[in-house]
Amino acid sequence: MSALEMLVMIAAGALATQITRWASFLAFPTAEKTPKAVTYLGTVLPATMWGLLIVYCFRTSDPLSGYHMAPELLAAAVVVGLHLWKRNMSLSMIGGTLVYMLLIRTVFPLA
Amino acid sequence: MDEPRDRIEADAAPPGGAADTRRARAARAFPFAFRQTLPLMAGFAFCGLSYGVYATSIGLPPWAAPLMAVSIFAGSAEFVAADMLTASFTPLSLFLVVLMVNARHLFYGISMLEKYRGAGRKTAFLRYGLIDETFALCQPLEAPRGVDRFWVYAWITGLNLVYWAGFAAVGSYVASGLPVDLTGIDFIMKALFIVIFLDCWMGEDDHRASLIGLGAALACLVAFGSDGFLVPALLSIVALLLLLRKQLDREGGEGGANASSPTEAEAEQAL
Repeated sequence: MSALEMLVMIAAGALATQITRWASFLAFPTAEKTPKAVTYLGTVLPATMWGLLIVYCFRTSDPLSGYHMAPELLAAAVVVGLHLWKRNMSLSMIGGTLVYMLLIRTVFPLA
Repeated sequence: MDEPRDRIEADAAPPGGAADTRRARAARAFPFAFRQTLPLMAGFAFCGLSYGVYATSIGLPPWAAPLMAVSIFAGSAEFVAADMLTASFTPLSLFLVVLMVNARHLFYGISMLEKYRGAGRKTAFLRYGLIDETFALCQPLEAPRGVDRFWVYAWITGLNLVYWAGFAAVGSYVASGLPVDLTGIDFIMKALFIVIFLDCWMGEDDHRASLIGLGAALACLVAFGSDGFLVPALLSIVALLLLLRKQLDREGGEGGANASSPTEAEAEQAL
């Protein structure tokens, strides 16, 4: 992707974010005047997005070949385990990432 | 401007001709605002550095992460945007995914309408920078007497922007000059969303929305493949949510006091 295309992509993301921040100010001046469908979607959408983003992150992992996602799944299990144990965001993320980096260098070397 | 309260606050300010100039009000508000942001600094440092290092490790130029930090200025969405910058040119997909990932910000805006009323020329900046952390700090905040609350909001917004963009810049530039093999550090994005998903899951009574997101995305991945699944997944999630509205809308469409004021915990959890 060229630098110009990157800038257009970034601008699209910036515009989308600013729409979510200005919508209430410009279109929905009070909670009562916000369309019910918008309120409803705003309430339920966030929870759906995190699952979608997990799938998005793993979209290129192939369960049928290679190591059958073993390094990813083991590291993901470490993230889940650490997080259920300590509930510390940084610790869970660092722990899982280090395990992944270690696994692909030792047990499951990348081709 | 604002009601008598502000005048009382102004009266309580130190006497003297220069006490109420713009600069003096700004200066008085800064130490208080800065103290409010201190507890969040470690989180900004970790997430900002991770984000910067991540962006460089997937091959983006080092200016991309700090530029996105100040323009998109929404943590989770920036990780996705960075990832999409390494693939094909799809600004509409990026627009759609960022819009939906940041849908929660709509409620921050509604929730802050009253507080930000009367902010004058600061309004645009406060709106632009209403990220999760700033909302979590400003929403419950009461400025002490003699301190201009709009300056406090503005400083908090600005400081959070400086932390986020600053750490992102440090992360991406340092990583680009580092003679270290960073292969695999991109797992940090997977770890991030697993953690956010877990926090969301443990905080909700009704898991159906979370499962819809996960299930629809998986189904679309199988049906459309890794390159084309994102937009169908986003659209089918909206379609499913609208179809199941009667079942899922527990506020019964009353406008929901609950819906219009997300709690601080939710804001922090959402990064």
